[in-house]
Amino acid sequence: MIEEKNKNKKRTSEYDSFINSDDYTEIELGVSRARDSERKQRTAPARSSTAPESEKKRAKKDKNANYYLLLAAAISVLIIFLCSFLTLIIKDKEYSESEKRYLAQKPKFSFSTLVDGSYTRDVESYLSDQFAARGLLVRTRTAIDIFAGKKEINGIYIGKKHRLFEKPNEYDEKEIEKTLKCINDLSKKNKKLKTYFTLVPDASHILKDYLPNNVVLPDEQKQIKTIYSGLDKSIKTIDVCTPLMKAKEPETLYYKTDHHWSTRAARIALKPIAEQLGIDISKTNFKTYPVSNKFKGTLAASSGLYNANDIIEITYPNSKQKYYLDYADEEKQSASVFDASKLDTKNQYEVFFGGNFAQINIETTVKSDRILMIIKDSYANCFVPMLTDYYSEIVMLDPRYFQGNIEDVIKKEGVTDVLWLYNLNTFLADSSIRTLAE
Amino acid sequence: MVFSSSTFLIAFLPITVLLYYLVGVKLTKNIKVKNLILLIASLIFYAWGEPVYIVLMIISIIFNFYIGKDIDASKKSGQHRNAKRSFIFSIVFNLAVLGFFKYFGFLIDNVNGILHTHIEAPQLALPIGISFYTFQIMSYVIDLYRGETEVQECIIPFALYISLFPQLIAGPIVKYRDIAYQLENRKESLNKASQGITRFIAGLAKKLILANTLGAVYTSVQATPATKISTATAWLGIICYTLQIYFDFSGYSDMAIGLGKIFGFKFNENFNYPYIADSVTDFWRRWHISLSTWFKEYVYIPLGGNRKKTPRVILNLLIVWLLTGLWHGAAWNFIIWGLYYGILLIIEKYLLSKILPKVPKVIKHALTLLLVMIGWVFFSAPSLGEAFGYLGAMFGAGTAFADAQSSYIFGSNLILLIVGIFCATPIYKSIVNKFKPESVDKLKIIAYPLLLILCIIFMISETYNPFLYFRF
Repeated sequence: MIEEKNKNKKRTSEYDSFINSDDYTEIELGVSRARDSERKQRTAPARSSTAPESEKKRAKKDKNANYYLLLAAAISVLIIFLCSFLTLIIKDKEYSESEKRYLAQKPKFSFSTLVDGSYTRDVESYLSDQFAARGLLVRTRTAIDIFAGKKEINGIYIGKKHRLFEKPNEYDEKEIEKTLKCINDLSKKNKKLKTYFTLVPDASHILKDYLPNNVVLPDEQKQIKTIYSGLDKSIKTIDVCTPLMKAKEPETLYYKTDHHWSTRAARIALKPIAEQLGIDISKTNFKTYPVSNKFKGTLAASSGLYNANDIIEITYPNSKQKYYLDYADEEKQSASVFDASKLDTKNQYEVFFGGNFAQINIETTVKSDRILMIIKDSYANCFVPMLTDYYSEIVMLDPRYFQGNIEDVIKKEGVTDVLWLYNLNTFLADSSIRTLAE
Repeated sequence: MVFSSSTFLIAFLPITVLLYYLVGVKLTKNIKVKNLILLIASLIFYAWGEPVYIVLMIISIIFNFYIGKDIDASKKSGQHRNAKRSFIFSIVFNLAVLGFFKYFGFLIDNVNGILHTHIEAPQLALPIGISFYTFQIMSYVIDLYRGETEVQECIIPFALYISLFPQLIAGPIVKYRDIAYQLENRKESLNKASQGITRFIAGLAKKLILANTLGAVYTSVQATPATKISTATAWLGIICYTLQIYFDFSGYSDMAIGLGKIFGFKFNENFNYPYIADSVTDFWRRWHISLSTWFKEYVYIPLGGNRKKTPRVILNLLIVWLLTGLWHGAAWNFIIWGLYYGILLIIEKYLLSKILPKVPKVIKHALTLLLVMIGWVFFSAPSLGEAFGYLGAMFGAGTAFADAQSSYIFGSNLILLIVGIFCATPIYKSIVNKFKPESVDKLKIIAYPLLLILCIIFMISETYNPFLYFRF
């Protein structure tokens, strides 16, 4: 027993010198001053190192060093308390414009959420989402990352001349097979309909010269061809890839800050699409004019890089025909395919139709027995305004929002032609098309 | 709860430190009050992340506390057989708990594989920190039984030792006898607190600024199958992982030591620039020091250590290193990783001891680093097969020597790599020592707060989660 006490005593005497000293020299960030002073004493010429004056000096230096470190620590503590205080005081934000999502709010406490861990996770999300100056912190991080050489932020490539690119989605053969099956089934069920299908390539394919150096992406033209080959023979596929690749001034085909194609690109695609659809666009006079020159789109928002501005143009036929829009599920009507009010929002691309909706019926005064259904993603929005002169009705369907029965709509509206128009990237990741088959 | 989270930084830590200093240090000046505050804080800290498994830890604490008292009472009254029985009971209990929650699934999988059975293993989540606190508990019981330390009569300091939040989640593993005195006699001071705070910030920076960013690079390399990456990409990936795991682990140890100091505790160093080691033996004197110390003290030496004949010593080493590997995780690649080092250490000890001093320094350092990196391939790969695949890519089976992907990774991360390598070695220490100590100290006044702000920037920006354009 005495041995035990002695053992503990031995250890305590080492600790004694620690608790009673204000010694700060340890392996702290590697600056081991004790070792260095030892080394200096060993290598220095024999000087009276025990002279009281130099000891006083060293003690004073150590005291100053302690004081500086204390100051460093005190300022750091102040920063922490400031962050606490500000985060507590500043009113909680509901929605983040830059992240396009709702921010976490104060979680409600309940015993069950505490036990399953969700309460504490929610508290953490709440504190980080509502952290003081969150936007500023994120923007600073982006700046630091770019300074350090990063060429992508939040999955968005920073291309040349401030052009942003989305990372392409994975090409999953099994998923694509499932989607194609639904499309083929729908076509087989409705043999009387004429079905057309087209996929639009991304900016990262057409403008690959603008990608950051050493970024090699899959060949989208090849991918599109492979997808086309999986479609039923009754479906007419349309190649818009080649005309886009051949177009002059390719920089005007896609927005710098948004993942959509430009209206000009849609105008170029109109030719091959019209050819296959069997509509005559040669006699139509299309009007084009810009509606915004300060467009900052989805890629700017996701990456936090707002250096570039884009121009949105609208293109529509200069015609005597009239039309009106019926937003089927929204109980909303409109006399124009363009919604000018959206130009005052941060999502200016929504000037086309006001955004994406489950179903929009465009009734026109055109005398035609053809009624077109377009099953689409948002790429079609700047394209459809160009078609209002050729069909007595256009039915726009977005599978991401449409929850009805497509056969009912086809019957009710008397659809004669179906056009599938998708951007390749959306198509690769979109499983909502399969819900149409139900 | 983790140190690098908003909850810890702006809520838990300020409140705990305030309470500790105001109530414990200033108001009551009572060690028991201080310990109680810290204990409650530590339990909240653990329960925050493990609302259910905290019960397990509390049961472990209570059980071992009373068994400890029992062992001590038996010893003091000369009933050595009873003491031995209680001792064995407690070791078996602790290992059983650890074994069940951590290794049972692994065991069942292997049984199924060998015997072609289909026993269903219960899908249990691993309780956070169980490897650390179980080892700390066992260090107490073993030291108590061997007479190396006195019994802890009061449950609060004992519970505090097991659950102390600075080192509960990621170490360093503190032996009871190294901290016994401090549990009931420690003094805080402004100087210690400021050293602790600055040390904590250094660790936080290692974790948030370096480890996480390097880890993201490695993750992106790992996303591509090993047969489709170039040699350069594979090497860039493993270099990033090598740096990441060091900054992650040593950063956590820095934070633990710093936090400990704020509360008056002195923990031993856990890392000492492991990547400047000149041999594998040297590496393990610098990496996760508290773990190798624990194994040496409680497994290697009881097995006879190096005091037996050579074949037995080799066996002892292999056992210790198999267990070390296994401690890191319930998977074969960890066991292989441990045995890999065991074999290398045996080779160095018996075959190379005379040759090594004659080898030029540069070669020794380079070779050690190479061996360590190969070890990390086994450690980081999700399966043995993938580990060998990755090694293949590193040593010539890749698609090419370099390609667009490797150039892209290199260009995007050059500065990060330079900063990382710089901070992983004592190079900057020698640069700093060229300046006047006074100016360096004055610089710290801005350097640490700035580093803290950078940490906050990195921490919050990682929670930036833009909902992709789906709606638009």
